[in-house]
Amino acid sequence: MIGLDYVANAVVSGILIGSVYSLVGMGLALIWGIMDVINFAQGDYMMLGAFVTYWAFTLAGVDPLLSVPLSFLVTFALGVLTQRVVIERVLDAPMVSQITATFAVLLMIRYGAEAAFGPYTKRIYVTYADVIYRFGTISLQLPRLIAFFVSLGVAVAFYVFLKTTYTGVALRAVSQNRMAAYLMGINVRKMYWIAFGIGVGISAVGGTLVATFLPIHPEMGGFYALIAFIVVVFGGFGSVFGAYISGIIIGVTESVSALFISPSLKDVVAFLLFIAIILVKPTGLFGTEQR
Amino acid sequence: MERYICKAADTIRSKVVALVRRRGLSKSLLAAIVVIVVIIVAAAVLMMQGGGGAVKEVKVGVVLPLSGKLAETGADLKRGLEFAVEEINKAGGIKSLGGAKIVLVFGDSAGKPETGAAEAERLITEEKVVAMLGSYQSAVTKTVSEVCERYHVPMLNPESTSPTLTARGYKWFFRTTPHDEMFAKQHVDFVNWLNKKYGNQIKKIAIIHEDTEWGTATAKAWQKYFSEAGYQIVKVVSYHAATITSMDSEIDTLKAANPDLVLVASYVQDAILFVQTAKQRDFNPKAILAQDAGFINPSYVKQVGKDGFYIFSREVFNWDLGQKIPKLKEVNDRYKAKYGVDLNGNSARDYTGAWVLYYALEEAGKKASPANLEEFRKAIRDALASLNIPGDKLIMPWKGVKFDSNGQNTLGQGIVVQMMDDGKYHTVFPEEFATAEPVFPMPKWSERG
Repeated sequence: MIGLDYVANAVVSGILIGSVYSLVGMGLALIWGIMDVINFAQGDYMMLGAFVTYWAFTLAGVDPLLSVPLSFLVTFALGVLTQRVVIERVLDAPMVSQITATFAVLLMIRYGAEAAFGPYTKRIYVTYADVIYRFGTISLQLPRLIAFFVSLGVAVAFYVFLKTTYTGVALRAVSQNRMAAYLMGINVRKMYWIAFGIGVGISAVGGTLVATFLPIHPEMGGFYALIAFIVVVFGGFGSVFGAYISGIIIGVTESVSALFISPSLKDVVAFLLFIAIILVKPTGLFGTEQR
Repeated sequence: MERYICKAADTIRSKVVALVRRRGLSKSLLAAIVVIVVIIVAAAVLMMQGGGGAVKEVKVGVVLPLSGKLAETGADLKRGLEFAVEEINKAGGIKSLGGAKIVLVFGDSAGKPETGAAEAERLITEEKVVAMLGSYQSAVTKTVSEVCERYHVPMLNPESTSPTLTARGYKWFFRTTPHDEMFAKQHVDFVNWLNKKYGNQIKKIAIIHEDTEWGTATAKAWQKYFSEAGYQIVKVVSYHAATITSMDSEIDTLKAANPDLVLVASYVQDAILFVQTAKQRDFNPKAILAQDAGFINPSYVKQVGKDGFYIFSREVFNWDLGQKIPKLKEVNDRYKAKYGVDLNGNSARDYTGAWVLYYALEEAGKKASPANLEEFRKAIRDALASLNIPGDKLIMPWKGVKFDSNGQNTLGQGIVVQMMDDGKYHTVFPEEFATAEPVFPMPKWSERG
């Protein structure tokens, strides 16, 4: 029967996959927190990250871990471009326009990728894909373990960036009060570029990590975007670190609940938990009262 | 004719220019008028070209998942159909209609039943297709066939395997592929055969399946036939293929039940994840038997690597059948030359479906003309209902094609294949099509290189 040892494994496995959810969610939270724009295309930038990694690996033999910065930079650039060309123009538009605009971006990226790469499932073979560590009944696949640590590293680096650098402080200032930040001489427009770039870039890192242990395909972004939304609301709107923690909570919830109920319902359990939290604390786990 | 039209257009233009000069109309208005005139003339030319004379082409509608999660399977199915139609047209088209060419008109279901139904409606009412093919997922085939039944359009379904589809008593629905209950029965035959050959090692069975209609119906049929045959079903696990990112818990639940045999119904990405996780969790049943779909998809075969070795899959078709079916080898050689991949169970079944529909069109052409759409559709239906194609005309390991009153082909059957250590599937069952001896029990993960 299902013993504690299985639960322990489920928790570990949930933490590992949750750390990827966290990255996608963090990116979304950053963009939302700073610009109040919901980026529906978040999951698709993640897919782009996965494909950058795939092509770097397939064409040039670049190890997926080395392509983390590459996929971040490529997506960052694309993100800045998206911000300049699309998002910037709808920042003060009604929310429906913003939603439609980011949804248009989603369609362009997803089906553009499908047209360019074909709808086929692709998989990266890294030499360490088959390395499995076993601790009792807990088993860890090395790529998933690496993904966890990279994700943690990215989160910490991002924290340091926000707390210590001028840009980081400026970003936070813009998020707190756009007008005041503007009056203090912060280039708000540039901060928005950076925010969107980093936001999608972090998700792309998630894509890179996923590509080392899951098959990838152009439509993979849809599910992660959905998870990212729960993560963001769950963690508290715009709270980047709340998003990180709640990503992991959702991963664990899914994984553990699948042991006891029909795994078909594991997403439902994640959503139920989400609704329960929202009922108790409408601002999310780590959210503060909105301005 | 075009010359006269051009002349007329010139005259009109000069008159318009004169008009503009006289009245001083703005340039943009002039542009608008020119555009309108061009559209009207173009439409007139097009209308004059169409209509009248012998039928040059016969439109057949196809609804497949061309985008969405199943886009790659859809692309595969589309190739099978297109390849068959290309061959049919090259060989002279529908001879009873004076060599009319078959034209496939595609609709994209995006894998969704409601979208599929809307596309079917569009193909039938706007494109005026004479018959329908498709639509892969049983849930989509169900809604598409409902539309076809309502409009009295014959639908030939080459590749959906939910048994319920031919249990509805539809008049316009025909299915060439065997369905999951037939396969499930054959699965039992196969397991019985393994037990006889290797000394009754399989007693406890677990099932894991994706939770849409196809996976669920498969699991139900398995439960029914295996328990009837005296096997013990120790665990049934379902999961949602579209959102699965980790299968540790699913595999652990199976592992806890300690089955001898695991039956799997998965699509591509979840099939890969299943295999990876089984390895990671060191889950070692004596055999894994899959219900084709994901496990036979070319992407799976290409991507799964050595972890996929020794897994059995029910198949409708396999590349090595060419050794047993000469016609198949021929077709596959041409197919591979064109697309660079071998035919698989999906593309081969759709290829076969297109040919079966062609035989019916040939018969229907003798009795009715596509000019009278309603009558022609009825003639196709009747032709399908009385069709009797011998096995040697097919590339499938079937005894032939002959539909019962529910539209189910009664002469179809599946095969069982196993991925050997060359990374390819080899036919192991039934014996008359087998090209290899099964590896049983499958080696434990710890014993593999």
